[in-house]
Amino acid sequence: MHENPSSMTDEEAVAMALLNKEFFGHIVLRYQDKLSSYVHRLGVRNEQDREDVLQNIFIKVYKNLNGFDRSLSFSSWIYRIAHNEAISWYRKTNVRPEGHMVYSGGEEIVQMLSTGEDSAEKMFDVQVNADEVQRALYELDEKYRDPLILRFFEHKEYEEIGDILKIPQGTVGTLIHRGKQELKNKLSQQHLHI
Amino acid sequence: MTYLTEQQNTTHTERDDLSASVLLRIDKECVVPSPRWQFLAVEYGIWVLWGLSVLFGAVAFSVLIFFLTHAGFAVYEATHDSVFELFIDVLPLMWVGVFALMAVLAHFNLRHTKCGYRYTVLRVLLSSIVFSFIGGLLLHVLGIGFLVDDFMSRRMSLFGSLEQIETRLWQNPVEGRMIGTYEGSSPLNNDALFTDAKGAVWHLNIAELNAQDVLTLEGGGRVHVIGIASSTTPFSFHSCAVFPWMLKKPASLTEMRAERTHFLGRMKEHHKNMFDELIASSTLNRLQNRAICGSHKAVQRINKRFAQ
Repeated sequence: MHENPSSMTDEEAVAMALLNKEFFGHIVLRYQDKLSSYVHRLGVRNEQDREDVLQNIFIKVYKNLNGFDRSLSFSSWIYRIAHNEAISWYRKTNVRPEGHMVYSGGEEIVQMLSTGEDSAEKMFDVQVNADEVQRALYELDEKYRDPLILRFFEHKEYEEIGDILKIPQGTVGTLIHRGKQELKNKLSQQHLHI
Repeated sequence: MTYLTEQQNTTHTERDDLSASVLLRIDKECVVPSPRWQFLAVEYGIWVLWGLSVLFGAVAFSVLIFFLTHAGFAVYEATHDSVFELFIDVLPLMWVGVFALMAVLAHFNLRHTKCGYRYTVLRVLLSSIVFSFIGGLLLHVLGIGFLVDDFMSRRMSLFGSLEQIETRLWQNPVEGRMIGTYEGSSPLNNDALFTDAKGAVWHLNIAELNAQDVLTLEGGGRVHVIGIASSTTPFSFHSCAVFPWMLKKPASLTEMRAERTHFLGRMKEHHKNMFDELIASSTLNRLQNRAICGSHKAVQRINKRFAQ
């Protein structure tokens, strides 16, 4: 047994949690901040709601520990559960994801729009209004918004995004590309040029 | 204050709170990890369903192959102007539907396996279809397509079996086609007595049949006869060629090629006979019995095709 649970890999922590549920507490500690940010980004704004959603996520993770697919990273697996739980929460509460992005300024969003295929395009002519960008992102179709959030806010690789959203890797690339285009179109309509 | 800042300010106690509350809830609600066998059962179950979909798809495909190889393409000029028309006429839509449904089910199942989502819809669909194709070919070689068609036609009267389609296409004396069985020689003349698929007894004039045709006719089995209906009182039919009923067993490619060769040979022969007769005689009336088959639609179609 590890002396220090924080030095365990996720897979080791899962194996230990199956033997002794107290170890599951370390998994919770390890992921609660990341998942809290993620479900917040997905639109669960209210703190109490978020706590409920997080609890449900971890209970589900615990129940399904034996179903953890070792061909995936544990992180992708737990993000997938978190994503599904957030979606279930919207459905249960019958609310649309609320657009309250977690950011420390407009830079992250702006960087997102200028990254990758469009980097050669002209850069920012106008100071971007982060609130407008944020609103535009949440007006995007879910199929574009989710990969964008995972890629540019959770900093996940395409393969991980595919595993979390259960879509092929190629589709992830396409959705991110189209999502960025859609976002730019929405911003153009609002007279914001990226 | 932004959420990140909130997060950064979160104290260890608060972090531990969630962990403790989750563990407390696990205890309180007696939550236990679901056993591994349940997950394995679901995964294997999905694979089994996928296998079944591919298998049924393969069965449907083997019946399709059986239909398309036994629908009379070797003698298509006897019934249709083109292979395409015959194809459309005999295409078993029900089996095409079953095959498509199974492909969709196989795709659905494969997508729900652990790694199924990693592949594109096209790749998943195509892989299932390819497996069904290969399985279908194998089942066809084993004669399963024929057996399924035979079984279904016996059990379900409404089922459009190939036999029913063949009967629809071939039991048409006015158009110069019949199916039926040889009953013996007529005591009055040299005609053969023949009972068609509807039970009517015909006097077959066999003057233009060759030895192979006669052998096939008198073989006792069900046969196709090409000819020209000359009277309905009594039923008289001038026969031009006889072909064995191929549906009693899965026919091999060699048998079908032989049937095609025989058919083309006989039709060309009839055309030549008519041509020779026309040159030798001054009136068409003298064509009776010796070269009447030259006017059959099938002969004309083949002649037209080869003349082009």
